[in-house]
Amino acid sequence: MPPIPKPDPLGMPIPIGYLFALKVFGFFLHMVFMNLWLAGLPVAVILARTRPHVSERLIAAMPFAMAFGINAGIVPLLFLQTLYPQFFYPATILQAWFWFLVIPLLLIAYTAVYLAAFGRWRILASLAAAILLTWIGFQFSAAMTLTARPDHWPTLFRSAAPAGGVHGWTLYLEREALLRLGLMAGMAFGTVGAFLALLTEIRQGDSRLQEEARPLVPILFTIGLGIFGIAGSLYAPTVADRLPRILQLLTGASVPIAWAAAWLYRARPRPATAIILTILQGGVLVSNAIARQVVQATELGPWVDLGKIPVRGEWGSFAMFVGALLIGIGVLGWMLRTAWIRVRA
Amino acid sequence: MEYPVWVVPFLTAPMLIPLVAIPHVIVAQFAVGGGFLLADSVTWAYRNGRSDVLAYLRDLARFFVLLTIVFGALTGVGIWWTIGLTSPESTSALIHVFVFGWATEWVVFVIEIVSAFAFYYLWDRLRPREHMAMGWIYAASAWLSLVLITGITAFMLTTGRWTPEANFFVAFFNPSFLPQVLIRTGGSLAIAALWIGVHLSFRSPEALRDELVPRVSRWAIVGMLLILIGGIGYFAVLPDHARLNILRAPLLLIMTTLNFGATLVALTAFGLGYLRGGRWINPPEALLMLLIGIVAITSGEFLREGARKPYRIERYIFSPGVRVAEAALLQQEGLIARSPWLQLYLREDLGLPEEALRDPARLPETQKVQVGEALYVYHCSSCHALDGYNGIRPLIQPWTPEMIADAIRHLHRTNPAMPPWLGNESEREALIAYLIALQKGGR
Repeated sequence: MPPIPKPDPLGMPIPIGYLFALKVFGFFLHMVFMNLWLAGLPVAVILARTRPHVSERLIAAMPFAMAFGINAGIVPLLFLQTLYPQFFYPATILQAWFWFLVIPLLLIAYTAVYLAAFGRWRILASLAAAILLTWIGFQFSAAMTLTARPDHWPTLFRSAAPAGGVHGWTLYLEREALLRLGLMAGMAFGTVGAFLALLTEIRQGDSRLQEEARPLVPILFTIGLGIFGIAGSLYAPTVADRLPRILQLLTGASVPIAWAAAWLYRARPRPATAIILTILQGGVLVSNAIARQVVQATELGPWVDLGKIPVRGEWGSFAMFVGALLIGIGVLGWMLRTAWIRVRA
Repeated sequence: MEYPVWVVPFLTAPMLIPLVAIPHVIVAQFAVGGGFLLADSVTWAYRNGRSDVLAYLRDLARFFVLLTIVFGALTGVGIWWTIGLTSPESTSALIHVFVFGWATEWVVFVIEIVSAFAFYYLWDRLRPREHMAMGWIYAASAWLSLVLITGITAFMLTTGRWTPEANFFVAFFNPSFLPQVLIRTGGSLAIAALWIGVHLSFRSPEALRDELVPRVSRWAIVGMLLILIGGIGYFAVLPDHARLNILRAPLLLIMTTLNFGATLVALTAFGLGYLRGGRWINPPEALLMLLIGIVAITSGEFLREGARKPYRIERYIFSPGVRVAEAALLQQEGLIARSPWLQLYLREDLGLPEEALRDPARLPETQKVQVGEALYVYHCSSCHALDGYNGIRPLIQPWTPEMIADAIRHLHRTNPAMPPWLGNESEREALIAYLIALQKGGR
């Protein structure tokens, strides 16, 4: 039996269904922006000479993607720590230094992204950010994989236990963690493709962008499909018994469907096809966010019965959050609408 | 005790928290105060048709937005990151009590980011009314974020009427909530004003300085008054153990003095700024004043953290990560019995039999010392490095073995900032054996 701590005695604030829904919603939001930097930065570096306008646009978008991606990443982590603290904390403590280093590395990457966006050492700064962010992506993948694998904890702990403590220099270098990162990278190329399609159709007057981006969109989707296909074919058998068939089908089929839509966009590059492509790519991300949650819950199922953890019924603070969210959506709506009108003008 | 312990040599793992938290608090308070000062100055500039002031403010806003969005956001997440690694029990408790407080703060933070971007990047494109509105939305959301986080951090020092059965609002509106909101709001206005003083001293012509310094100083004087009112309230609601800690620990006394001294110096400077305009400010003076402001914030944070001992969360979790309600059980059944990771190490790495885990004092000396060392890691290493911060080796060096044994037997009475011993008698003897061996140079 792995040394799994007991669930927090304070219990769940509200029924777990709500917490799972918020976690998946937050993860979806995080993926949208995180995908942009995960694939967008390498694409911007590689295309700096051949498609400079696309490269420039991607680099200019990165500070925003980083700001919102990091912000949205708070949500799934918050609800993960509400649902599974007894799994998440040991998994990160065992790799403590690597997990801790995510913050300074992110700080360097974020600064590099701004340097590039302000035109200082554009390619070098983008490359540095791309490398650091890919490493951080792997670190996340390793932490989340280990969170769901408490049976692997004792071995890691015993290799890292000075007088019963943890030195924190152990890295969970498992095939599964790499494959999960591969799946994410595959999706990320699609998300960048959809973003470019949408941007191109919004900026109708930008002929250089149209010229460079439209043929690129299906290529990005094809690269994404390839990476997703390879990682997925290796990863899928390991979770086949834990993921309902309908979700397997959805996650597996959503990527080629979006890929087909990318070719449709190439053939008919219009706002409508760009929107269809973006919606389908959103479907890829949503189905994967749900599938990942289902796999995590199934993996942790043998170790904890969340249904038995008492629920406190924190409805007052939940109402406060929902109220803030509704007001927030209103305020954000006004700000985005104002910004949109002024930018268009 | 149910989680593995991350051992950080020399510094101790929890000391990584202030490394991230103090820069964050400075930048976050700077963001809040700066939000108000920028929004107010932009409003004034638009209303008076001052394009020169607007041009200056745009330059100021660039650095400001970058610093707060990049550094402020990341170090904020970084604190959460670090406390999860160093104090998982407390982090889990805070998350379970305040999950929707944090979620609400996330919403507010999204608004903060969007308004900051719109405020800076659309500077020339927004209409004046829209631009002013964006500035005030930014200021309000940054301040709301401060309020929400203060409720959570204040709870760690004063849990008030909260019990594990009570709800979020009882925890949030704890006794030190309001004083801390006043202090932090005031500190935010002051530190932002000090920074603008630095910026003005380097960048703007003297005439502009003369106009802006009194304006900024007025906000800062309001801030200083809030600090004074909040400070009085803060000391009034401090729990007895925290007050005792401040009075008896020399370092905390020094921090208190520094805090008061720096606050008074800053207040005097703002008074001068308000009365005499900006011509007296030059770069070295402005930088010195900013440094004094940073000292005030740093010492205040150090004081808040230090005063909390022996708790991580007042009357709920002791500093080694043990819930107060479980202390008696641990003292009866033993720390090892409640710590699955420690058991794993003792069983698998040291190969100790089951009965030795219940009664380590009966083991041969070498093994007893090994168990004592592991108990030290789980019970003591969160506050005491071996040789560095709060180093245990130099601390016990002049003591006799009897003094060591006596100190461990009466931990909380010897030093009220220490928790009681949270294991059984036999485990205590093993820890004493380890510390004596450590002192003799045997470990």
